Formats: sequence, structure tokens, C-alpha cells
Amino acid sequence: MKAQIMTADFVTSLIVFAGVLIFIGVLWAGVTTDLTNRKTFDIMTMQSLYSSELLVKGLGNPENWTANNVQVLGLAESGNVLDPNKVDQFENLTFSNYFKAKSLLGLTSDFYFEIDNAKTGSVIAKAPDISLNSYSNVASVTRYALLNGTEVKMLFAVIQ
Amino acid sequence: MRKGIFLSADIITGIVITAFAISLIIFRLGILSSPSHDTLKTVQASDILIVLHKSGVLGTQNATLIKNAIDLFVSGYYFSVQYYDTNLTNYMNITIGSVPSSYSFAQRPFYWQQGNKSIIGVEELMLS
Repeated sequence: MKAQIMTADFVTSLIVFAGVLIFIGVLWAGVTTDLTNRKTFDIMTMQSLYSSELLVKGLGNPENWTANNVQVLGLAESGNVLDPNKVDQFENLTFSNYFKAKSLLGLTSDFYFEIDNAKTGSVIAKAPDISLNSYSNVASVTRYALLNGTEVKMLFAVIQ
Repeated sequence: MRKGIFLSADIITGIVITAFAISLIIFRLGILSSPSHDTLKTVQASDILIVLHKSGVLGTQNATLIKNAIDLFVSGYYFSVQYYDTNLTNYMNITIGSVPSSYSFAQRPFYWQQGNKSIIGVEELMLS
């Protein structure tokens, strides 16, 4: 009886069983990674949305804030109508004190913003001075607003 | 022989079927549509409606101007606006595009003062 414990049937079964286990393990690891990446991307997208909402709709605090006294960021003079002075201040703040801007937006990841003229496509403001192409994980939101009476697109991206 | 058939075809089949079922469940979890996509589309539709209102394009009541303004931002949409006078009588409707098979939707009322004339309206935008 002891000699029969390693029969061809048993060895074949063992190999198949091991194969199935390995298959499940690899599949599980792959899917888990995909789901984790997806969850991370969703969180980044929602952070982009919240930050862009703050910038496009919010007036900021104090209402006529500057880079020196800003407590809450906001680029609007009214909902979806951007104040050119606040856009300039935000661009300057992002260049001069990026971590303060990031902190005021409540972000733990890096960010990028760009405002383009919707008609001509010309860049009105952007900061920091980076290329999104060099990042592997970019969750961006495009918002629409008016700036000096002109339709503009504001891209806000959370990046890793 | 009994120990040799411990991993019989039945058990292997069971394992394979179980693995397949687990994979399907996980795959199903993976393809659940992300809520953020619909949220973003709805927010964008809402942005466009506000811009149309605040830029004064809706006040022109000109379908071509409205279409040109929306085309600056998106393609593949359905837009409609109903205009009412101060007696809340609907006197004009404008529709642009056709209703997409799958869409995110935003709707808002607006008020526009043009000279002595007050314009009240309801605008809606469906983005594919």
C-alpha cells in the first residue's frame, strides 16, 4: 500500500492541482493590483474634482486674498467666473511656494493646473513648470469658466 | 489506489470551476463603472450651463450662437432651453443635437435681464 502512494494518478493530480493553485495565485495578484491602482486613481480623480471645485467656485478667504495672507484658495469672483488677479496670485504662489499652495488645496499628492482660452487654445496661466507626460499616474479634471468675459478651460490634475 | 485518486477529476473540476467563479466575481468588481466618471461629466455639464448663462449667450436666444458656445467645450451632446416670459408662458424652445444613448445630465433655471425685457428659462445639457 505504501508503494502506491506515489502512483501516476496521484502525481498527475498533484501537478494539476499545483498548476491550478499557481494560476489562481497569479490571477489574484494581478486583479488585486489592478483594483488597487484603480482605487488610487479614483481617489486622485476625486481630489482633482474637489480642488477644481474650490478654485472655480470659491472666492477664497479673505475675499481679496494675496499670496501672503491667503487662508482659503479660490479663483472666482462669482461661480465659474474667474478673477484675473486671483489667477495671477495663484500662479505666482504655485511658483514661489508650491508646498503652501498644495497644503491650501488639501492635497497630499502633487498637482498641476492650466487655464487655456477655449477659442484660441492659448495658455493663459499654468503652474508648476512641468510636463504631464513625464508622470505615469495623472488624474485630471477639466472645468469650464469665464475669465475677462472669455470662455476658458481650466485643467486641474493630481499627479504621482 | 484510493490515495492515488485523492485528487480525482471531480475535485479538479471543482477547483477549476471555483477558480473560474472567483475570477468572474473579481472581474465583475473590476469592471464596475467608476462613479467618478459620471460625476465629472455632470459637473462639466453644469459648468457649461453656468457659462452659457453668465456669458449672455442664452440671452441672445440665438441657436447658432448657443451651439457655437457649447462647441467650444464639448462634442456629442444634447442641449435644450425653454424660454418663458414673466407670466411664465413658454414662448420659445431651442434644441441642439440628439439625445445620446448614454449620457450625464445637468439642468438649471436662469434669469437674464436684457434692456427692459426679463428672460426666464430652463436649460439642460446631456453629455455623452
